[in-house]
Amino acid sequence: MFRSRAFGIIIILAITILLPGQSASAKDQVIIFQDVAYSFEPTLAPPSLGWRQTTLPLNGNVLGVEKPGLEPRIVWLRFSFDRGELGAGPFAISIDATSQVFETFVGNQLVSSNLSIYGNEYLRSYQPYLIYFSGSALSPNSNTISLRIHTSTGMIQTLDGIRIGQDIAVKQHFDRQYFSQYLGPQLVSAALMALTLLVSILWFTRRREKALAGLAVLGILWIANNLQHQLLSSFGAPVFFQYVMIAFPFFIMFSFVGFATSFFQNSIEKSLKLTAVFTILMAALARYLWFVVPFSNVVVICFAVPAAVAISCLFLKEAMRTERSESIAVLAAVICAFLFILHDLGREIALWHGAGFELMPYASILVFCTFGFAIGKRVLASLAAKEDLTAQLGQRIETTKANLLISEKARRELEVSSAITQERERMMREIHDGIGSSLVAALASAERQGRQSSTAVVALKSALTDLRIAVDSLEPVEGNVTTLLASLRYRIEPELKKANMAFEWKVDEVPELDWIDAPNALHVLRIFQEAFGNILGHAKANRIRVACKMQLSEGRPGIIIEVADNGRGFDPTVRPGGRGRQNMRDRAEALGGKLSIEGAPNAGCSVTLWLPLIRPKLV
Amino acid sequence: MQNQAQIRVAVIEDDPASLERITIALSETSDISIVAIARNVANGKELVEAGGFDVLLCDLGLPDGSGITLIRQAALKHKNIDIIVITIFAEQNKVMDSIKAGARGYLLKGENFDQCAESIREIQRGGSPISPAIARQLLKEFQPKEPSKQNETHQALSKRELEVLNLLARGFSFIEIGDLLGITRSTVATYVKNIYQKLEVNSRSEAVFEASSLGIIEMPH
Repeated sequence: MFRSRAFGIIIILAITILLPGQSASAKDQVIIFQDVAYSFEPTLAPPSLGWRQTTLPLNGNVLGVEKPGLEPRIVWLRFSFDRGELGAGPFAISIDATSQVFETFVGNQLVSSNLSIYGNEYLRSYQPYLIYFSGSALSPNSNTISLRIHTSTGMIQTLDGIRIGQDIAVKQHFDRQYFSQYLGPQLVSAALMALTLLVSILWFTRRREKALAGLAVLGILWIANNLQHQLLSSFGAPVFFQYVMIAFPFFIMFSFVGFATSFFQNSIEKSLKLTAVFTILMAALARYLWFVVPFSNVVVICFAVPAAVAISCLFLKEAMRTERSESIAVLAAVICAFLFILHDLGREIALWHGAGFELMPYASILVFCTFGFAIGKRVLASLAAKEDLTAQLGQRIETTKANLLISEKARRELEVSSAITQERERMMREIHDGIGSSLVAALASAERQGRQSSTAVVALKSALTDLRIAVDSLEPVEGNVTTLLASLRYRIEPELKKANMAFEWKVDEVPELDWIDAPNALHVLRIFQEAFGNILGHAKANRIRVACKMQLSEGRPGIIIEVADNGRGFDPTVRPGGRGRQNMRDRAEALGGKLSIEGAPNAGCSVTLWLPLIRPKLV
Repeated sequence: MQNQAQIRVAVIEDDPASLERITIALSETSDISIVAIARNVANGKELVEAGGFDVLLCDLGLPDGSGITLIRQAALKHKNIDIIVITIFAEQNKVMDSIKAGARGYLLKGENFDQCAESIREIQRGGSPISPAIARQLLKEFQPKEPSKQNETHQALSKRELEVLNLLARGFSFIEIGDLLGITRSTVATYVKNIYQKLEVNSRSEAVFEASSLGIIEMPH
């Protein structure tokens, strides 16, 4: 994964750099000069003597100036061609890029000059030139183009890509060159300035992010380097730019190491230190040797390349360690920058023609943006982590709040239930010690008098049963109606046994009715106590059937309880004398259930109570 | 004259009326005799300590304390006796506490004192009465608990016992249950007694377990 990505990036870079810079269109009407003659005669018009031959590109001391002094000098360059090689006029000369001050002659005729009106200057901004001239200036056969170059030392800064031809074809080439060599770097520099300013402001507001400071320094350095493409005049000696050119790769390396220090966050500290020391050593050696062997740019390259390789390895190590996209992007940018610098240095010392223009300005924006992206990504990641944390904390607070609410609710419910329990126990004690004991004592006393079946004994026993059922209703049954019915049976079983009543118990397991609390439980118990009482008292039955099961009523789920006997029944048309049935109906209504009492003479009687599974909330 | 089948009963009861009724009810029988009577916890302790009875009838609300302590003492001291609680209302929590202490049945004051002799015979035969509410309570008690709270001495109910308990909670009588499950009435009663016993054992071991986990007592390894 990592390797394929890295390889892809490197191959694209290589293709970009190695692409030939010239176009092939209208080539037959354009002459690209390779051979050049030069002369140091300080004449005003092209001299006739002192010409020596060499080839392009020219740079620095390749002309073999014996004594590169500091006094100003004129250098003549002459290019020869045959009129027949060119098509029809009008014509133009283009120079890919130079920073020299020069006059152009076609034959002996001055056609152009970039001499400043500001006096004796030797450098202009580094830019391409397009010089038009008419066909009439040419002689029919052999012709010459001469450049009268004003130098400060006799040395020529980079001068390359001189061509002559039909103006349209030459201008086509010039336009491309103008953009890549002059306009492009200016745009890049402007953008870089804005970005550097932005990064500096960001760093001021967020000092902890040291990588931002490193990036700002890198930006400023590179802006300074790019200035050589902008300046209309030199600051003093042209040697200044030579210095910049030589020192710059090492500045860039130092700033890369600095960036690595702040960006890698000590992950590969040892390698970092070693690389930094190695780079400093190389820089020191390069600078020393550059002075010992004057103007030997090759020496600089010899020392810069190993340092660059070491730094690239450092970034490679980090990229392979993390395998993050930003680390890989930074590695690619670093390698790219080194290759671009190498490319430009090569052009500078006339080793190769390369892309035909300086790549370094473009490397600046590339490196800056990539480093900015990496830092931005890291800052964003830490922001996201912080937001995550905040969200997590928020969620935890919510959970805690919810738990608190639940426990608070449980606490309140516990309070209520414990209050109910306390109250219940108080009442039970009251019943137990008071009325209960009294009833038991009264019953014992009545029985002692030997009147087992007297009205008093019966009344006392029934009072005690009533009380027991009331106590049963207070027991927690959790809405279990079956248990309620069973308790009732258990209470009245002795009486039923005495009456020789056969029991048919058909109680299914039914769901619990959550809404059955103590008062509702008592209603249920009282309804069926009444039903059993009626059977025992009046029905003359010998069989009781009790059934309990689930049943829908008008589509609502519920349970139905039936108590039926095989007694003498009753006439439904005759109004009953007592309050018993009405009480049962009132209780059923209070329960939100449905009661039906059915019977016919000599056909038994059945009491049916339907209770809803879910009781609608009472308004 | 006491023969081999004679059932010796001790009574601890403070209410004179109830005591009188029990005495009368039992005096009418030939196979049951009251051998000791106490009216409070202090005397009850001596009574339990002295022993010499087969069945203990014990009231819970005694003037100088709860009958529960006496029940526990008796159950621990005499393994082969039956303990019956005397109560007016048979409230769930009191009955449950009594069973946990070691009781195996209860008499309702004013209700079945006339059947008091029969209850004593029944319990001696190995059966125990149970109300549906208590059966339900027991079902809840024997629900599987969290494993951490359960110790290895915990006794679970058998499938049959759970079945019996479930039917009891739904109000079926011993006879009906016997018919439903194809067993005799007395087998059902024995099941109930076993269930009571397991509850007692569990509640005792739970008390020990809790005490040991609280560091109150030290368990021998």
